[in-house]
Amino acid sequence: MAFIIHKKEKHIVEMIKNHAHTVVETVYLVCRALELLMAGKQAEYTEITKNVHIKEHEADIIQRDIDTEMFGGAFMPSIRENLFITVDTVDKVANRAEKLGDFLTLIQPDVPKEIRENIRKICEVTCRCADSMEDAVISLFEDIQNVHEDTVQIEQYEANVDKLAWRALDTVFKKLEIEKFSHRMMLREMIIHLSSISNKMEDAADRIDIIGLRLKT
Amino acid sequence: MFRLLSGVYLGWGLGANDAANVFGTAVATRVVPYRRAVLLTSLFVLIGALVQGSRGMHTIGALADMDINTAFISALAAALTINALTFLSIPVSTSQALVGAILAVGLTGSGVQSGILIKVLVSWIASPLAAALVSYFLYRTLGSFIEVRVSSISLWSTVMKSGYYLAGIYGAYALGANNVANTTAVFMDAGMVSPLQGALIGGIAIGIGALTYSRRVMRTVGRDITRMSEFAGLVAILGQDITVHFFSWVGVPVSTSQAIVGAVMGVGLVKSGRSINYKVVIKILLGWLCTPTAAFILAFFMLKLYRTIF
Repeated sequence: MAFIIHKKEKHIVEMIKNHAHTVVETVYLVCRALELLMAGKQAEYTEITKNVHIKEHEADIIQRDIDTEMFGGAFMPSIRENLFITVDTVDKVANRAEKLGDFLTLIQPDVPKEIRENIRKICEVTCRCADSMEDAVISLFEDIQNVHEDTVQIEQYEANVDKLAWRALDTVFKKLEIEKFSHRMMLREMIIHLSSISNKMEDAADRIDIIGLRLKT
Repeated sequence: MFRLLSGVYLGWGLGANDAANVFGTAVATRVVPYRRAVLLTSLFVLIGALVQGSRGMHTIGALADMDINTAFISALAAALTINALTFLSIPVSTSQALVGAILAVGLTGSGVQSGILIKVLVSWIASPLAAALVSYFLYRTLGSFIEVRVSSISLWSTVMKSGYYLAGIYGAYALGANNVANTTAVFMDAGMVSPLQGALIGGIAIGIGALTYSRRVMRTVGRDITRMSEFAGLVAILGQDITVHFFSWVGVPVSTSQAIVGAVMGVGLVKSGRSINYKVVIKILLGWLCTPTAAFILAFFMLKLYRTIF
């Protein structure tokens, strides 16, 4: 009987891993789009933001399939409920990436060269944070002992992103000579959109931690 | 043979109430579908009754000498007591109600086997304590084993689900082995049925009770236990199962409801020494006091009435 139950859940586990990977891809894509925007390659970044949309939609479809199969009775009820919330929280990361992609496509902000390096660093740390989030999801199904280590790392990356974002905002509002206030506000919005991606990853890390703790007897 | 109906009725009520103690949590948390739970309960109750039910039947049967009529009256008095006390929300035990009624037969007739009575009374007190002890040690040993060995949520879910199935099946078996004596032991003592026939009829009656009327109790009991973690709930059920099965070996029918309450406390003790709920302890004591007393009084007056008329 145990074997049958395990087999039933195996497919859902694969879908959850696939979902996390698709979400991470949206983060990588939007960071790549931002890089191209700063490099002035408009045609390419527009194409990539379209791909962000496609990946986000893909993640939504996988999430829907996970929900349908999971409520067919896989896993223990408490785990089922927590997994459902966790997948939903992970999915919100993709939504944030999509939002940033939309912002870049619609507003096409001019990023001053003084903050470009800072923005690149934020993107780099955000991508590492996304990798850790994927690792944490995988650890849930492969080695629960690693979950806490992964989530702690996510929190550290998120704290780093916050620091870098604050530094970028400080530069925008205090150190740069920008003519229009609306331009400052646009840059502020872009930085906030970017840092909100790792904030959502931190939320996902909290949910993943809860599942890990539930397994403690 | 219509006199057997009071025993069948008692068995039906027992199945309707006590099936909840073995599969209630699994059903309430939707780990096991209700239909599958009651089918497994009915099947394994019958197997338990047939394989191991005779010891308890001999104990209860030897408590006092019965004839066909006193057997009918004692089973009927026990069944009516259970209905009345359940209606008044006082916790009841079929075993205790039946022993109360048998005492009335013995004390108004040829006497009671005091040695057996003491054995029964000691078992009643010991069963919740034993369940607490068993679940306390199960929690400690299984808990550390699972924490070390179970490395993923898929495996954890599988272990828990399989555990709930196995605990439910084992609990149903133990219920049949232990409690079948409550339904037909008095009729066996009166010479109406053989031990095997008694086990068969009693097992079927308990099974039908589980099949037809256990849904509500199962949900209520299940909800109460599921306030604990899934692992703690599983350990509590296993603690109850082992205790009830142990008393089948001893040959004394005990209350599964009181055993599960003891087991829940045992699990609570692992987390905190202050987890003993004295309200629950008082409830058990109230059950110990009220159920046999009420059954004794009812059976006493029914016997008086019967002897006056006939």
